[in-house]
Amino acid sequence: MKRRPDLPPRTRGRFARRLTSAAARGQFELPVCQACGTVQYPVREACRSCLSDNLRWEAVAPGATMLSATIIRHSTDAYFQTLRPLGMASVRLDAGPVAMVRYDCSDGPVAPGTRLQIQNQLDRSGEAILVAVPEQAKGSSDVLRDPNRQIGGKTVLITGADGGIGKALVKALRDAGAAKIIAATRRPQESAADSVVQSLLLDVTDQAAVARAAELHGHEVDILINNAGFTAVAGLLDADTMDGATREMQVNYFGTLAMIRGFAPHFSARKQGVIVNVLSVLAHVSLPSMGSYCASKAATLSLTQGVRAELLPWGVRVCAVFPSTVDTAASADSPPPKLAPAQVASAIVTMIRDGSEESYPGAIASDLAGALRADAKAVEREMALGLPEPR
Amino acid sequence: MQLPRSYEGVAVAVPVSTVRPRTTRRSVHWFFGQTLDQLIRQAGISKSDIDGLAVASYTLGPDNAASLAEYFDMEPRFILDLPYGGAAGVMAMTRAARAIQAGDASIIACLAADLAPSGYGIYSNFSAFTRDHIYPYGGGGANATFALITANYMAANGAVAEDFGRICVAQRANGAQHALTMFKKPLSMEDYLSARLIADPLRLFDCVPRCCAGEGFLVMSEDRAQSLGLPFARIGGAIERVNGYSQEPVMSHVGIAMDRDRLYNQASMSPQDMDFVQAYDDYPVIVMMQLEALGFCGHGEAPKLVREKRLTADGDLPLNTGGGMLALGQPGAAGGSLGMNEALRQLTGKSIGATVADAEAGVVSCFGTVNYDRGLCSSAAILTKGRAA
Repeated sequence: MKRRPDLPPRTRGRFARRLTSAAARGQFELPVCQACGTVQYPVREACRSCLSDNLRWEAVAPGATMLSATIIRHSTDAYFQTLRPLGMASVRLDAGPVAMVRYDCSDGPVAPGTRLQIQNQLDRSGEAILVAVPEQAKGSSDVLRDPNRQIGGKTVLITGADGGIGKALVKALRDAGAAKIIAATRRPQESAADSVVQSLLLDVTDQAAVARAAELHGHEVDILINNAGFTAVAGLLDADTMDGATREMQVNYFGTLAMIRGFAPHFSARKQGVIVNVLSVLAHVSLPSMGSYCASKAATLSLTQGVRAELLPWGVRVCAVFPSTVDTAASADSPPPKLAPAQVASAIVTMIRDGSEESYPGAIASDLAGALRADAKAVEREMALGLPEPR
Repeated sequence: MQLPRSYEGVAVAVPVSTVRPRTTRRSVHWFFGQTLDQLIRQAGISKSDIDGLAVASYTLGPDNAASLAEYFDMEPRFILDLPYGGAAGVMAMTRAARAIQAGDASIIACLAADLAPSGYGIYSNFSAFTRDHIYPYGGGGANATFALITANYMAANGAVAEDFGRICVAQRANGAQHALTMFKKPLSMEDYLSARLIADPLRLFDCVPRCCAGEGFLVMSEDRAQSLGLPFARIGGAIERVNGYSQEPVMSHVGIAMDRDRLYNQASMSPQDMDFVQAYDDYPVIVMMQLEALGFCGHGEAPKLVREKRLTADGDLPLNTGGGMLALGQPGAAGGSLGMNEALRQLTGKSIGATVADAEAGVVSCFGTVNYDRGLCSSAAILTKGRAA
């Protein structure tokens, strides 16, 4: 794919691109030699010390000390030329190696010896970049100056805005400084007058209505949150009919696809925009008691990957949140523990701000994500046999 | 100390340089052809007398020394490609000298030529580490890397901008007299200090201008050089070091600092015997590290040295007497042969610029191959004036 000059370079080799998978989760991982413990940076496929090829990408200590800093005032790259001046520094990672990093140079070069915290962030091309921020900094900082990470002053459209997560999203985005929130719902709402929140009657399964909404609001929406969802709570075989499974696909998959198809062209044209798909950790593995729902979320996960790839060259971000069971009307019959809707909404706000692509809010989802990365088949059996696992 | 075999019996001769335009529509093969043509004419030999080719270039790929042999209809029995940029000059000479001693070839042409890169993204693919871990951090190229090295050196050794400026001003004074200079006008300290920042703390005149050019010289036996009536230089000693001081978090030595004693012992000489220093000058901080490595002062003491010494060709520490790349431009990998050719011109009475009076011996130091955060290759040689036996 030819690179657009108004986006950062995508130059990495395949092995180094593995930095991206941790950055997508907002984590800092490097290859660690399993034979001698040496942390590899620049990343290598053989241990620089003992030559073992038994390397594993592991979370490493985020601390670092400034060695030397410069400010790039001239670049041979069209994208960087537009962002000058840029802070670039070499730091000694607490994990051992020396790394090149970006830093905020608005107050001049950071002094040698300064303690720093390294964040592994995605830039606008989806490449991982090591960013150095002050050691005590809380949360993610926008050293990469990515307009897609701002929420303040932006217009957000949320589907399913009357549901549990939807209501929490409206509140969280208002608190985050969104200038306008278009709260889309299938059923008419008693809308109280509000300077920020505006209601929109929209059934995401009505393709013509979605197209009209995109025509009407595409020019103003910066962030699209596909939150509308449906759960039949049935197995794939134990349901009497396929109506529930059909409706799950219509809302969860085709509804999301229709919304993205409507709004993405407006985002691409502006070379800016964020799409957030509210998925479920069950997009990765089937829970038999709601098998058709899981299938619809798995389809929407695949959709997420596909549109992300198609939109990446246009500077449009596509992210997904993967919660475990959330305490909403739709999951009234599901057993605890359940996430508070506000936790999911807050995870989405954080994800937009820190530039990551995936978020697993709460301990259950993040544990399950880790278990899936380690051994997906084991998790599949665990689900098949029913939770909790006998010890 | 175990010393390598001497380079006795080997002659280095016929320094040639092509025109040096800032841009060109010609291919790099043209510059190689011009270089080879000058070598043959000035040496009074025919093309078929050259039976060895050592080639350095960044822009020749996918071609190589063998491709050039076919291109120029030659049949060498010894070829060598040296993709080591600024370090290639001395490395080509020492390898060619050993091949001459071993009888693997009788006349080896050491050729280097490159085109100036242009356009966006030119340094994006310089090496795997650069591509993966340097370029995505701002595309600052070598300027950014050496800015970090310079900032670290200043903090460690108390160097100030004027110290680097002294090197640049002296070299431009030397270069103003050179036949091939890109700048007839000398540089003042005020010009240097008031120039815009490129990558803090580097200013415009710390960074070499790029050009397109070819450089070449011949390596053969002394007997052959004498029978051809060619003035020549001898190799008193030579050292090189790759990835030296690799544990330094920020580069503060050039690798040959590890090998200095071997260099002078092999030549039975000392720094005081050197009539000039030709040091690779991609950035002044690297010149300082080479002066330290070569024993003209202690580690970290070059700022004091350049305040005390006069660095022009008529000074008490003649440095880059042709002006170096700061005056003659950096023709990519051929920049690594500028110091070699300037040393050969001074020692064979063929100076085409400022002349060091009665030069009998000098040192050439090369440096290059920036891979991640530093240059990996460092090499140096002592050359002495050759005399008929």
